[in-house]
Amino acid sequence: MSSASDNLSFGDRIKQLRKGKGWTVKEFIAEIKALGQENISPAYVTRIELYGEIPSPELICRMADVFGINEDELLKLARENKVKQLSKSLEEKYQKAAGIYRKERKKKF
Amino acid sequence: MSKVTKEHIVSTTEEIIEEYIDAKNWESRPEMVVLNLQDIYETVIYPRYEIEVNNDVDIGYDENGEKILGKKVKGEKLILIDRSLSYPIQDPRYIFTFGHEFGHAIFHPEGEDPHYCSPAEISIFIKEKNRKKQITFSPQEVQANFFAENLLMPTKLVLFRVFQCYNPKDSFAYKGPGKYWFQVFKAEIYRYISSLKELCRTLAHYIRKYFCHVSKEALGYKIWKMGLINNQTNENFFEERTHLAHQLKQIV
Repeated sequence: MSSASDNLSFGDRIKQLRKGKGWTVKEFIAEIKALGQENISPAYVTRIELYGEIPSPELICRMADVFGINEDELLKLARENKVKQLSKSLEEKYQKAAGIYRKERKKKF
Repeated sequence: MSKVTKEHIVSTTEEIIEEYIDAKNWESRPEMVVLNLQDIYETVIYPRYEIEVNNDVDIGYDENGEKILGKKVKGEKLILIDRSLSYPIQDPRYIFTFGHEFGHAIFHPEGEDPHYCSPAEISIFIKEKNRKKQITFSPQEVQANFFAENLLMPTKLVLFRVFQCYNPKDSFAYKGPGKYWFQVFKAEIYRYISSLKELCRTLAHYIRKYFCHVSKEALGYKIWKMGLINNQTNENFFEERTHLAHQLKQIV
């Protein structure tokens, strides 16, 4: 398995790191809890790995700790993903608003 | 690889449901239990089995020209659900197909025999033996259906909801087509019921929201299979007579 992490989403990278350690989701949660972080649920991990949920910077640092890697990589990836998600959502809102504006303009004539 | 038995399937679904109830802090409070398949997937099934789902694909048609609704990808922990089912996500066919494909993923991990998961296979109605149409059910399709049925409509929970909602004396008596009175939670309703199947569908209608929004047909069939209906006619569950056909029969 290649160690390159290009084009992986944040969730994909977390899953890759977790499987690299040979941990199930439950074991991963136990490792994080051992560092004193408040409990996270299995459903939350599912949403991180599969549905693009980005956790807080503190939790990301804890994850980097249990994986034994430098947190910069994960923080950067999380930031990029978050920015992408927000841009996409902003673009959609803009298009929707522009569409409503055009519709309203047509009504005036 | 151990042989897949009914008991094994039932105990697996019971474990999944118990873990879900535990995660939601609903133990010993069955009135709180509302099964939501997406939530069960996120909370228990993915963490336990790491099966992924792609519901944005067009899987195509089988050799009989029937749409393939779902597929478990051979050798991978991945199931596909056909795009035509995916919106809205509370489409009962999506729900049942999702459960059915999980059954394959959990019990048939190496892939499946070349039966396609088309509507005939996924339907949980067993065709009568004397019908002319030959439909062979592969044991794997039957097992996947059995898994979905027990995951989406666990027997103990269905029993609880039926008694909580309808408060029957012991069973529902079906005396033939006519107007029936139901107590639905704290309300009372009257409905014209034209067949045994329709009675079951009506009973299912008011409680399906607790069971992942499965179809009335699926939940009605489960209620009938659980023996909760006291059929006082010679009507067969699978033979649905309409009101007119019944009247005609009585005249002729």
